[in-house]
Amino acid sequence: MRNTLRQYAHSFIMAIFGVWIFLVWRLAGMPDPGFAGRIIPAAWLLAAILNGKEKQNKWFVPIVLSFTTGAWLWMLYPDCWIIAAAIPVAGLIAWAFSISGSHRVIRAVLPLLLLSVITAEINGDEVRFAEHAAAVSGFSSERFSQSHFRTGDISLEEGHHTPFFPMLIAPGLLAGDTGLRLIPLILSLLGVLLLAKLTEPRIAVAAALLYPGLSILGLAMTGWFALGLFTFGVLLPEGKKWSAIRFFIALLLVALKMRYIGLSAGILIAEYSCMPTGNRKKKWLIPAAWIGGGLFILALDRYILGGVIFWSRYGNIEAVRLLWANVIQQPLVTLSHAGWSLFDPEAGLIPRAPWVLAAISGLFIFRRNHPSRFKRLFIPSLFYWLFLIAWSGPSWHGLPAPAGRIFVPMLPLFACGLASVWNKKETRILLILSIAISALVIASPVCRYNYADGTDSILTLIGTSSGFSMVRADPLLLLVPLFLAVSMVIVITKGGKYRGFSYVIILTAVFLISLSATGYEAEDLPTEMVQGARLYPYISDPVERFFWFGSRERILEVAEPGQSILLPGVEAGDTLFIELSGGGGLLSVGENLFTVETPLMELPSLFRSIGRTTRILPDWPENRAIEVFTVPLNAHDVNNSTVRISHHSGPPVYMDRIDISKKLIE
Amino acid sequence: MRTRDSNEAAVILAGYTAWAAVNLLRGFSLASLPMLAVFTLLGMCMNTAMFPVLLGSALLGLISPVLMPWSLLVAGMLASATGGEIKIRVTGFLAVASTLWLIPVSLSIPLAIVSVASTVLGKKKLRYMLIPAGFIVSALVTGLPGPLTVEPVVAGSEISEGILSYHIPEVNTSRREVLLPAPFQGTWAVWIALEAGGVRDSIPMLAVRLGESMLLLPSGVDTLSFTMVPGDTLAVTLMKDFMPFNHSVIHATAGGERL
Repeated sequence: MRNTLRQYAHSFIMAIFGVWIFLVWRLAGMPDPGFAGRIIPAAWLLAAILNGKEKQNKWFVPIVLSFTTGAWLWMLYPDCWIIAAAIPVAGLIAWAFSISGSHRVIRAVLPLLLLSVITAEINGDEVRFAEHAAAVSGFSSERFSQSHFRTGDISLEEGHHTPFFPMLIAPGLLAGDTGLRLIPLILSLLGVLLLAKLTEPRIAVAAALLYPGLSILGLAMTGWFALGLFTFGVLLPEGKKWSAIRFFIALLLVALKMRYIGLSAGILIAEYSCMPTGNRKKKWLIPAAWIGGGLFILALDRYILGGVIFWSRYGNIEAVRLLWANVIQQPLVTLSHAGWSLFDPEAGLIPRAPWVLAAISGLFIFRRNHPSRFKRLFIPSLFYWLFLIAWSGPSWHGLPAPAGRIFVPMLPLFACGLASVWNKKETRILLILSIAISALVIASPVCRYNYADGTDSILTLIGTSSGFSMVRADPLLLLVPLFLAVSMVIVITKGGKYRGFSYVIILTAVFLISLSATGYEAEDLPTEMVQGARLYPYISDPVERFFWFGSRERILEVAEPGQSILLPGVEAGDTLFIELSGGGGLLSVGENLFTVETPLMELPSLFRSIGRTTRILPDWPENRAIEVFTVPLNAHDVNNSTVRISHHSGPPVYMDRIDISKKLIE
Repeated sequence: MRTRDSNEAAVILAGYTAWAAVNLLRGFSLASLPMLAVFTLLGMCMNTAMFPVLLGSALLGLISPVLMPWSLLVAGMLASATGGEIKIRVTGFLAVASTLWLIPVSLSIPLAIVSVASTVLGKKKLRYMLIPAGFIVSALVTGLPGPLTVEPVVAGSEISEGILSYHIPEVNTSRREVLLPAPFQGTWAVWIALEAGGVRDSIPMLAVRLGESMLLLPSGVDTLSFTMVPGDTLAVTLMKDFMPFNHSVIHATAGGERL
């Protein structure tokens, strides 16, 4: 008995911590005791069961004590309890890293995988997949029994997804609505196992439990399955007979989702480039055979099987033209999208997954040690990313579905890079930051989502906002994070005496984030400043703004009596610069009254070249040009250092931003 | 300061510089002074198990002025309890003491006592037990430290086609009062639906005020309606103080129509 107790001592201690979290939550009276206050302790209990005879890692005591202190102080500020709740979640991720070293991948991932599934509402493409799965399989539950039209669908019956993935997950619906994620959960675990085979168990665990892997871990989305297929293809031995399987995998990826066509093309190009030199004739025949074979299969599917496997919306000639327009007609704009895909706070790869910087540094080592495998990972990942940006343009991020999910197929490449630099101190720092982000997302499920409106959910949670955003900032500002990221990669690569610089880079980045944005953006106005006015479009889904030709920011509509903005911190002599648009409405700013009439925009020539014929856009708020109105404030405009901006009469007025220029001291 | 392979001095100085830069550009804040102690700790504890928590606390404090006191106290308490060397524990104590000095101390005495005791105590295991023990005493006897700001929150509102709706945040012991100002012209009928709970008695737990009139309500579900004119403000206030095993909370939705 004593021996058993000794062997499992660390598991008992973990279980006691699970009970302690439960008790502390209740003793401290923290919010959400019924959900977060149960699932986090339960995850620790599950981890204790799965821990077996493993010893606890050294982070355990600081995690216990900082959680207790955090809960002790939770009332200091309304959101402190979420940060306190994130501490034990971070501890679970650290625990997973520590036990995964000896081939215990599933055990390590399971508690967090379940937390991920439980804390994420069925969202985004999941709903469409579920409706499609219910339609094709007949296993329909009440919730998903009817299909609903969404932007991008061909018709009510024909969505914009291929039927392969819905058919794959359909059997799960036999268990009801909750069974929707049953097969995706297994597919995620298979993906993690394949990653473990490709690299090391702890690297696979890190890739799964940190962003971007965590964003859709266990959810009914295609990312982890695509990752699994891609990794499986990389793991296949070299040789002619395996080429056919890789070709089949490339086709499966396209059948899974059209977005993966870049990945598929990359797999075939990598296959071609990895073939032994010599026998040139055969080497040129192979790509021709692949292309011919691909076209034959597509034609077979479309005309014999009625498009049941591959048919989605690839027949749209405008999409092909848009690809041309993005690459040839506006290469710099497309380049900026590529930059935002790395650095945008809401959806970019690096802000949510800082560990990727270490992985990029490790790729140089990985390439030296495994040139062939590097090629098989790098070429498809690069093609996937480039195709995504070139094809999707400004909607590359796929928000509001979980931020970061589109990067999941690139994880095998980054995981191999991470494995090469795992033991470096700089890597550890970046991993700590990544763990903190994942833990926050689990503790505060809304942080999983963003709306491409410049207000990142994690920054909002911690009480700050940044003017740096893909919908707000000048793309030239991308040079700043690019400089910091390149510096970090160099520091990790060089190591040694440059080690301290990693902190300097992180602190510089944090310093830049901590600088409050100047002026007031419509989306960021505090509730006490806005009375009655609402944001346009009225729903936050960025799909509503995908096809706007000017700014894609949400704008504040001031349209009815009483709707107003109370702007604090102004004095007589100050000047307001208000970005407005409208069709002739009267706006009052203090005692000033002026008409807001801005011209309708013309359709940009780029879109005319891809087949749109309307020259003048319809009179919708998003099609009116936004102009800056300058309003000098006099003594009678200001009351208690506040000026009221309100609608007076006429059509609605739309406001994007207010800047205050303070009067010069005489 | 000696700089070894891990560049402790560089880390400490980088932290000080970031602190100075933030204060210069955001405006000097006396409350941010204890950040210096946390950056010192960060440099001193680079190879210890508490480093991840210290790093997180330091960055959180730097980014977010509102979360800074919380992160300073967590980092300071952790360092004073788990620091192997006395200089780490003293620096942790300084971070705690200088933060407690700047916030209301009425309920923070247990924190101060735990911090002092863990700084001077030599036995590691005893120090580890101090924080949980202090927390239990605080929760059961003295109460937990309350919110730093007692100003009420103003609810956001929207008027659309003559229909008013408010966006009301959750009210709990950390956010005790929410105000619903009238964002309209003329006379409106306003309703508010309240769901209050998380308590273990039936004593009135919230007050709804409009002008001179006030209504006290126990936990449960209630819907109230009022007539409001410009200048009126409806206030919902949680009357319950912190009590262990109570999760006092009010969820409210409100809206209105022009009469």
